[in-house]
Amino acid sequence: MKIAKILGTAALVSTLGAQAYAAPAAKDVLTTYADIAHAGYEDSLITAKELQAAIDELVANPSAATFDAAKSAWLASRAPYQQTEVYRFGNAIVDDWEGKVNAWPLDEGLIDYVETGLYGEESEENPAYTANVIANPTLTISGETIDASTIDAALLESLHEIDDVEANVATGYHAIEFLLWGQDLNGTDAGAGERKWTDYAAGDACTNGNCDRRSEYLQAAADLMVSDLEWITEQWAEGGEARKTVLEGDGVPGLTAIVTGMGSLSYGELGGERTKLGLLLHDPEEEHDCFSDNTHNSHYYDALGIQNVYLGRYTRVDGSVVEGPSLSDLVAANDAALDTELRGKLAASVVAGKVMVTRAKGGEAFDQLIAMGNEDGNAVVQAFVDALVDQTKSIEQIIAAVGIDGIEFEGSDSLDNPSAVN
Amino acid sequence: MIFKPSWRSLLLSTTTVFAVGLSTPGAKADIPDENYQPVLAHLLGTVMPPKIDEFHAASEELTEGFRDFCSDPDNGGLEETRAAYHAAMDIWQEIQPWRMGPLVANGRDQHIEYWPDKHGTAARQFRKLMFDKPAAYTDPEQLSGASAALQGFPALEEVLFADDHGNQMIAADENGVFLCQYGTAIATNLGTLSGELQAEWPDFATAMENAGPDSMDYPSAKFAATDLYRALHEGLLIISTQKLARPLGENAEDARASRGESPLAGRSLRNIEHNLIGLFAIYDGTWGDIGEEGQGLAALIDNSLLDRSFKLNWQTVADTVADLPPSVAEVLVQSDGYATLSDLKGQIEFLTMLVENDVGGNTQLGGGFNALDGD
Repeated sequence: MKIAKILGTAALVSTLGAQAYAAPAAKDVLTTYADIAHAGYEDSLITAKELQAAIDELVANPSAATFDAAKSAWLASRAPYQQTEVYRFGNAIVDDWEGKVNAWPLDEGLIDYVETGLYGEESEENPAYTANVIANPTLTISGETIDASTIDAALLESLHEIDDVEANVATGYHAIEFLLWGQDLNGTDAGAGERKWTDYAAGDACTNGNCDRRSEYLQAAADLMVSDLEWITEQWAEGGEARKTVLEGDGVPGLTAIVTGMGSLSYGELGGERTKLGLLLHDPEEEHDCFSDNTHNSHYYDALGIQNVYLGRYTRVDGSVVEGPSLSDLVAANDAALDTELRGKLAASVVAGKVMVTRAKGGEAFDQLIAMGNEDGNAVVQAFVDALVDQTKSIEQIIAAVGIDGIEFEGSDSLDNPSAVN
Repeated sequence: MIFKPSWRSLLLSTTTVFAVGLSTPGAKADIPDENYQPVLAHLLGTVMPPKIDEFHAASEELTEGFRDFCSDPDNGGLEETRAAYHAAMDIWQEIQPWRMGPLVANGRDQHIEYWPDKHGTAARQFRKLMFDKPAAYTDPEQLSGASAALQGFPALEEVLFADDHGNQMIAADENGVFLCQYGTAIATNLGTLSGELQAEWPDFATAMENAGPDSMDYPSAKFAATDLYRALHEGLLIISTQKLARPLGENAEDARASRGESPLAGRSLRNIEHNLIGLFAIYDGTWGDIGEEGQGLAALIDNSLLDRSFKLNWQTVADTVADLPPSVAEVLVQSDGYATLSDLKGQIEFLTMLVENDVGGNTQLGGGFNALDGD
């Protein structure tokens, strides 16, 4: 995935200092932005540690109960993390890092057993398509022999995106998701992956073999994710590099980062690659949380995260609120009508995301919504795409309203006309 | 990167033109909005419609060819159907880069040809399709609601050129009967899609030609014309970054013809040859025997030296592609094949740079460096 191109310029920065007196200073807006980032990543870390503990418990005492607890902890961990995704585009430090924790889509055959009848035995693009680390203490990938006898963080890091294939995702949320749910073999019918807890059982109770190595993999992946989230949380703390970067200079680079993140996530990534493409292909493999059927929540929280940074307000997992001067305040001081319009559009996309959540709670998950022939379900998903595309057009207008320039949002081949919003 | 001598000399001549442009004192005045209107009218109203008609006719001939072949399948019929596929693909590849309006509305271009397939979706879905053989995929109307990866040219290529499919259709075994019905449905659906494009284009062209303050969609002719510039720019970018970069990979050892466009039909480079014909029409205003020279974006460029140089460079690249075999695979097996394709990629990138700097700058439609005002 290419990084959004940012060509922020200070040519129009005088605008920042020339609005009505009610406008907040850019630095204050950016401080709120950084505070929300820190809170969001810290919440992601907190929930990841809870997931790590649940996985340790599953490995120590495998049972249906500990297995379900681990899955519940994974689902809970997605809510704060997805709200941070808006920080990915526009902040190079995040974009360079995020692939370790949320890379997608993945060729899961790298990690564990798969049903090859549908998945296939090999891929033209990926020599490690069915490498199956858990079953093979020694791997040969593209002629290179890899010692996988010990499954630890170092091995997982070495396998991640091995052979420069992005689909070789060995770490992060989706690797863990696969190890907890397994492949969703239901196509566009109801149901998520149906991995049994006995895949982690000891002795003869172990199903599908290598339960000890599967446990080692799951624990190593959880440990690695916690350490990765600790690192990014530090970057947004006082004195951290990410915070320093957005606050440096005259405010233009930081505001550019906010707008780039909002626009690129809205349009190319969430609207295009993660949603419209799935609709175009009617393919459950194109859903973000494809093993757990949690895509409705991931998309909803992504949309909520975009709204959070614009409004300068984030509700933490403990219920407390982080808030302060916002980009919305800044836009309103320059163009009140645009602010009202964008608030409305952001709310509309959150509502459109919530409709998918409601449908999922009623038994119709994202993969069913995008199924061929499900016209009503398709319309629900298309409404989400339309809302995201619509808000992107207004986000683009922020550029002029607050005096920044030269931003290009992440594009997507799967949307109707990528050039329309560029 | 190694450039052929003729290519290098052209690069130098264009650099000279570029320098002349830079030396022009002062910034150029804005091009009046009304100057963009004849370009829009010519390209969208005169040049494109007959080509869409041609595409629709080729799609219908392909459907007829498939029906004839499947009614009494034999080798001759298979070859005739493959020839009809190539004819339809040729004109589609010329139209493909005009990514605007009805061509991209509702993902129409991707339903006609879903490529690149970054996640290997088509192969996976096709494997399942052949396992289940659902009747819905032999009904063109139901097929139109199916995955984009299973309803356009790449799916048809799989049916006509992959593995043993041709023999299976001739043998009319269980797989062959399904493939024949499915292939006919794909061709019929392509006829429907091209017919929709044909029906919707005139209104789009009229809206673009009438761009101005009274238009809800296109507030100025310049705004509308930006779509043409972007199509030209993005079309070249897609050739270099996808159609050539994907099969070339990181290096010669990593190169794989199968990552190119239309690899089974052996026409990855033939596609590029036709892309360049369609793209050049945007600049020059001529497309085969349709249109009038100099009435495309070139009409906005008040610099005959730059115009001549640009066209010369373009012709050089077009000649290079025309001289190559039609498939990437045939080139890669040659001892200097990788270098040849890398050189072609470099030439396309050079054309892209010219479009950004010279065409974008002089038409005032591009966002990149403007060679004339020196900003």
